[in-house]
Amino acid sequence: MRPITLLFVVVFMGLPLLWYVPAMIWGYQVTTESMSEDGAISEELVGGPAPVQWFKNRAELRGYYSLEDLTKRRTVSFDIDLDFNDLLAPGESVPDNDLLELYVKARAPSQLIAFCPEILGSFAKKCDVGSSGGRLSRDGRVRIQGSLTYLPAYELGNVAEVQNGQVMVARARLLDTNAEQIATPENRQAALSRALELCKLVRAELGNCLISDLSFKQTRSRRAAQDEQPQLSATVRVAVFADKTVYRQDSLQNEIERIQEVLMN
Amino acid sequence: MAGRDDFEARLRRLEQKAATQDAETLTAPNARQANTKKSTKAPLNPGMGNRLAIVLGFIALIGIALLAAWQFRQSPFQIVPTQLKDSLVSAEGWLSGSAPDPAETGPADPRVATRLQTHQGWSFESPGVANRGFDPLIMGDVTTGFDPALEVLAPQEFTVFEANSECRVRIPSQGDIVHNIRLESGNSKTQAHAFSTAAMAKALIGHIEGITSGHSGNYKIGSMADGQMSKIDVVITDTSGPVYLVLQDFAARTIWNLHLGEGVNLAHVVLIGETPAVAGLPEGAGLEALRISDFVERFEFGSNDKIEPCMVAPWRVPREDWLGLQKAKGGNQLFENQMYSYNAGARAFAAWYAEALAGWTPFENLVAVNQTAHVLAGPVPSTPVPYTPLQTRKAHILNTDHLVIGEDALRSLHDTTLEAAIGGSVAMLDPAPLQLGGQEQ
Repeated sequence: MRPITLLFVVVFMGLPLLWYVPAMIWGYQVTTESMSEDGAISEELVGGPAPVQWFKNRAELRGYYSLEDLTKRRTVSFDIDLDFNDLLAPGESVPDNDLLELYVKARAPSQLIAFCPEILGSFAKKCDVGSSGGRLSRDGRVRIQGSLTYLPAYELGNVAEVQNGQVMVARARLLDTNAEQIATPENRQAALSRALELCKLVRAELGNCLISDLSFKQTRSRRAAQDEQPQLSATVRVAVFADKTVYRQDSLQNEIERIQEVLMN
Repeated sequence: MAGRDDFEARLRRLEQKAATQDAETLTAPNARQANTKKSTKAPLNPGMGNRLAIVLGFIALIGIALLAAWQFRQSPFQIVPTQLKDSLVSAEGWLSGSAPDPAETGPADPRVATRLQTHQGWSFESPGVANRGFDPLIMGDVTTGFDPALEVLAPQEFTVFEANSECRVRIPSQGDIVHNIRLESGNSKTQAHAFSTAAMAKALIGHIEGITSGHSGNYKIGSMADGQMSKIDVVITDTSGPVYLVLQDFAARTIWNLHLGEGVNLAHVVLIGETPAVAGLPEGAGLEALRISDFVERFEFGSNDKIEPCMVAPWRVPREDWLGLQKAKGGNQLFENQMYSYNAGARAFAAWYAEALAGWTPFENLVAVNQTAHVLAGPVPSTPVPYTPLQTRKAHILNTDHLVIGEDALRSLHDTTLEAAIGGSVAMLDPAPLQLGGQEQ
């Protein structure tokens, strides 16, 4: 073999090595670092009881079914209409106009966490503010929007052994909008109970059920008197881990609506 | 006898022949080998040499690869080889127009090094002095006693005054010499911060949204109102008549620090800006100010560049040497739009100015630059003007919701306002979870 040919062989065969060896070393470092960051969770998942192991490395399912973490897949949402003065403590003066919106946004988390005691019990065993926000409308009304995340206190049913499983969601109305529902703790409690009942019936029929979001909306008509209580509406979104070869999304929705009809009547 | 002799002679010839053949038989292979060695000079085992070279080559390459890996061993996410860092530093230096290394090019002229052409015209880095002809001047050429180490403080005291409620100013008197200083912003930051309550609320809302959005590491967390004031020294040397000074900054809060040369008569000062201030105003000189946002939207391309009754936003006319204008002429659409705004805005500003100042134009004795820390209004003085540091002076500032000195005071004001808005501790923005049994975690 001539020297120049030899040089070409060495260079062209060796160049990939220049990339390959550092890449492998970096890859090892990346793996090590990522393992060390998530190590605690991974160990917990690997060592945990069923149904923990089956959703290992499936972030979406972990969001729905992990009983360790508060996640955005399990929420109780609020959309609340208030007068600005409702945000203020007794005797507190109204701030400068330029600060009104700041006050609304700054007080949104404490407005939301105040609902946590209402859901702790048969519905949730742990509750936290997941997200919060607030807006000030031109007429001086305030809207607080946000969600609480929760750990379910109710049974989820059998999710670990579902074959060909896929999370399917369906919505249902919980409070009859024809009947005027005032936004009171009692009416919110009634909606919670109805959501649990709905989920129980779904679980009996499909094997499992999770309340992915329970949404409360408190509104007040513009013509309402100052002392009039706002109206309350509530909807629920349930998630079922179902065999996708047997169930379809629309068939689940039909089933939920049928159960809801039974419940409402 | 003859027969015997013949026989012996033949026998000797045969013996000689045999001896010669033996010798040829014995020496022929060696001779071939010698010939081969002479012709190729190859090693004893030709295949082994090639393999050895290949192996050595691979070993060398693996060595280089391992060496490279060792260089980058700290973190795979922070790979910036030293050479690349060096090149970035060089590029940065090149972009900012800093002087080349004196070791390579000889001593650089400090005057030239302080001057930089940008997309929006000349900028002067301290101690460079902006002037009408954009000449490369430094503070040492026009002042005495200037100390760059004392350039970040604030005036001793501020006196608040009100802005003009109408977009009118005092018309220059007969004999007044109008000087215009117009720039985008100052580049010598002070410790003074002036800002509105609305600006602080906006920053704090960003901070709250950063926390409550649920996304960790949100860039808005820690936001504070951006109201840091810049100081610009104005060295006034025109002694040809009473000076009527119009100080205009577009996108900043400027403290104009005036230094009057011998024989200068400063008659009147007009400030046009957002929250301008002036220090070193002599007794008897008039002072008035226009806040741009009282009449038009603040600096915004395509928005506040129209001719209208109170178009007080001081746009500058693009010059041929602006890099932005050159790019616009080269077909860059971004700069075409930007330069269009500059031209239209400058025309609109000139229309208002001529109307408000009874025919004077905004181009009278004009120094117009992008950024600077020092300006010369008038000719280069034969005797340097004594320099007075800002921190030894009292300043007049246009009314503002908040004026604080120093980062600690700025942070404290934001914290106090935020806690008032929350109605309690900052921890209430991210309350602790509640769990069954009433225990908080």
